[in-house]
Amino acid sequence: MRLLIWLVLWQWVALSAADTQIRFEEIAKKAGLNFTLKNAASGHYRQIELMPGGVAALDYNNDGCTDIFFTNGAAVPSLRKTAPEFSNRLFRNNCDSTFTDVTAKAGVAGEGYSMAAAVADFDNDGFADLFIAGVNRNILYRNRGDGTFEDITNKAGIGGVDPKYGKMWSVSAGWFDYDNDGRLDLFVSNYVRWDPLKEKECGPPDHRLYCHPGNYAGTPNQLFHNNGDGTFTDVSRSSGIAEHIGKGMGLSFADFDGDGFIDVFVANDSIRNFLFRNKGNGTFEEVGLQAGVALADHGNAIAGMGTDFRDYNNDGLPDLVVTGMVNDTYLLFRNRGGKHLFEDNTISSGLARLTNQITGWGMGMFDFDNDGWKDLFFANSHFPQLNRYLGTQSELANSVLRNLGNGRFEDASKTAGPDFLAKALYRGAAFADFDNDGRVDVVVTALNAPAKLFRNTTPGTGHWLAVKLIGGKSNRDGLGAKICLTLADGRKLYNHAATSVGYASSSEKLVRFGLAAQDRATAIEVQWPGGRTQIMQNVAVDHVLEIREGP
Amino acid sequence: MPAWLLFWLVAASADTTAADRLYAAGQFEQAAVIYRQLLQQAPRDPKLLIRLGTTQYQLGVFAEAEALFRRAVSITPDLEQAEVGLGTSLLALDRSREAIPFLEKAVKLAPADRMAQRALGHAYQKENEFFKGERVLRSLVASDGKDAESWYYLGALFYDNNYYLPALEALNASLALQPANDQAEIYKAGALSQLGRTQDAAGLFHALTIKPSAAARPELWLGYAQFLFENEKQKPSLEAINRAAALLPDSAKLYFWRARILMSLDDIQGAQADAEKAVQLAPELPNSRNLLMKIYRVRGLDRQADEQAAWLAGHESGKKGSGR
Repeated sequence: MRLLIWLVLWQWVALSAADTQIRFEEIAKKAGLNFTLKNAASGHYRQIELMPGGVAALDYNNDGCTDIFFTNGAAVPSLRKTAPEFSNRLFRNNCDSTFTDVTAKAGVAGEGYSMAAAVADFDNDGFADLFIAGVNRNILYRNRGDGTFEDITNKAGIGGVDPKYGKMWSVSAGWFDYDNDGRLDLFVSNYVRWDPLKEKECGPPDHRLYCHPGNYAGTPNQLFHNNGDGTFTDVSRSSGIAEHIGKGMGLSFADFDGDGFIDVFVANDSIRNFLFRNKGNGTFEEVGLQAGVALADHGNAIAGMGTDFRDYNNDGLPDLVVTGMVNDTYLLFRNRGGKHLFEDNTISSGLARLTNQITGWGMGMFDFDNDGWKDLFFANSHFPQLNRYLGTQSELANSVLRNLGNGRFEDASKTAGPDFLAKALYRGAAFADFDNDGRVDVVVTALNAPAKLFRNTTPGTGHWLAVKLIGGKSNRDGLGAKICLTLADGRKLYNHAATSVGYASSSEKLVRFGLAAQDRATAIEVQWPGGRTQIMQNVAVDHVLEIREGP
Repeated sequence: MPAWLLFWLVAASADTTAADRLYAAGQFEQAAVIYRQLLQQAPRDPKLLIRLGTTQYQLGVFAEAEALFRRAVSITPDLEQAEVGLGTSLLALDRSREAIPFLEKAVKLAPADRMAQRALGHAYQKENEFFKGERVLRSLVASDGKDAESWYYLGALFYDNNYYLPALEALNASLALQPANDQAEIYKAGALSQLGRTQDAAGLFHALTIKPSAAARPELWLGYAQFLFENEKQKPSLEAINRAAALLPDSAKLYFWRARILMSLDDIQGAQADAEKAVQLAPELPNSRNLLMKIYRVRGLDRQADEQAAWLAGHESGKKGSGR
């Protein structure tokens, strides 16, 4: 028996630790993914220029190939999309490693200065809908199922105009079912109060800088309850969400305390982060400080931007990663379970050393080499005007950090291929297996530069399994469902369904697992939102497994 | 000795020749005796007040120097030497915020006075008036690349604002001109560490720890402890922070750092005691309270943890800054 355990452990460790070199090839141009994010910078150093642009990975036409939606800026100060270059863009995946621009046909060019995209089937009709968050305009597009979308923002009552604050500058949005009623609700993170005609001047006279967020008043976030009839109710105040004034950036969802209700983490820019604990009665309490994720152990707030809320150490508890600015270090909070306390593992995981001199926006926690451990991807770039003080150019290469399975990460960026070293002012990132080869790819936006599509070409990756959830009583996308996958050696892997990943972006809804050398899953246990459990035994791997919620 | 203290050749109403000679010879106490006698005869003579103020500054009697310069300023509001003297005395008394208006006025009165500019740049650096300090100090080093003192202040200013690469360049320039500057070397080691040049930082930190003049500085041991901690060498880090604490026993910052280190070593009880001490010494600082809150939570002291969290929730812990 002891020998058997030893052999199994040896196999796992040997395969996990094998030098699988994560690699990416940049194929946007070759794939016809022709998009340039325009921020309309004109030498006035307006704050909004820094912040675009989110990107979404979605299968809007249900052909099994993941499409891509890009948000885009607008003219300033009008904040109107006055020229085609400001159009948001939808690219259909042709399932042959190429994409076709279908923006016009789909009717999703948008309005206003857009920031973020959030995808989900909010009306449970089987088609992915699209919410766009922006500076002056939020839009909800309902997918008609025929390749076109309908702007139902006004009808749905989800434009986001607050009675006190008016239309706030929204930076991110995400779908989740906070009351487990089977209908997806919408959380919108808002940044600061800002007026294009009243931009402050910051920095020395000979070298203007973008103003620090401390120069602007914060705003509350918003929560919209899905009424199930195509309309939403703004419950920001009654839920307790609006009590907390922040400077919201990226947001991520997970049931961090295991009580069956999805909680919300909001990365704030240069003030403490928020963790909204879902009390299960329609209200939330903000527990970021008590839980230990509001501030790093050094006690300072960081310029929080992107975030993901997943289990990096396979202990069944979702952990938090947050990107920040140069000298902040990105943060890694390990969920200790028990009394809602996270531990700042930024130093012990190696993240402090690996990220201290970079600035990160989009990010995601995905297993790029399918070795059973979720790795980290960061879309990087410094603030453009800081080159004078940082002594380095603002354009940076992205980073990929490999999870070593022992609580630590190593930088795999430099060996991820020549394309991966390309520098730009990277922003949003969305994750999906665009070519259906079982390896997670990444699409990344860059300010005033072509978007990049990093195709995962990692050789010798392990087996994999992607779970496509179809909710019955639960929301049809299964968002919030927790999945535990048991391997032949008894080890368990954990993930949950969440599309709000990174910064202002939305990733594929499939729940992925890298399995290393394991060619079967002994069991897959799905805990649907609300607590219903479904177990599948002896599951084959290397494919997309569809799981429909049982009665 | 700052250049400005070499003395001003300004005429005084009394005959100061003998005292001036003593001053020039570095015999400040004897010079002060004569200046005092002369002041008794002409108590409102601003030039005499400046001379005695300067002498007291040289003797390190900064409070009296401040009072003398302040009298001179009140008698003759637009006398540049009095403004500089007052500003510099306040700087020496660690009251840089108060020094700034006098030094700004001195620079306005005598724009070519490098000493006044440098003192102003130094005051801006100490008050972290980043853009103003950068402008003054960059101008000084641009017009005289051999101004080691201004290079140093510029390096310190960049360092304090986390701009480590320009900090390193300025500190290197300063050290090349004036190698005997322990604080500049400590900053340099810190900058190397932050820039990820770990081996270089380790080498410099180690060299400084065996240099007696540097090893007498608590900031060296604090910087070294932070460097070791961030490189996951917790036990040596604890030794370093204890060296710092021995030199500066009642520093909230040192207690905070020792608490962090102890926590990482799983000495939660020790960490709690140090974090509590840090909060007691500097209750207005959020860092120690955040750490203490986490320690209380780990120890299951939820009520105490909630108290700290409530305090932190009411405190704006955001980073400050004008631009980025």
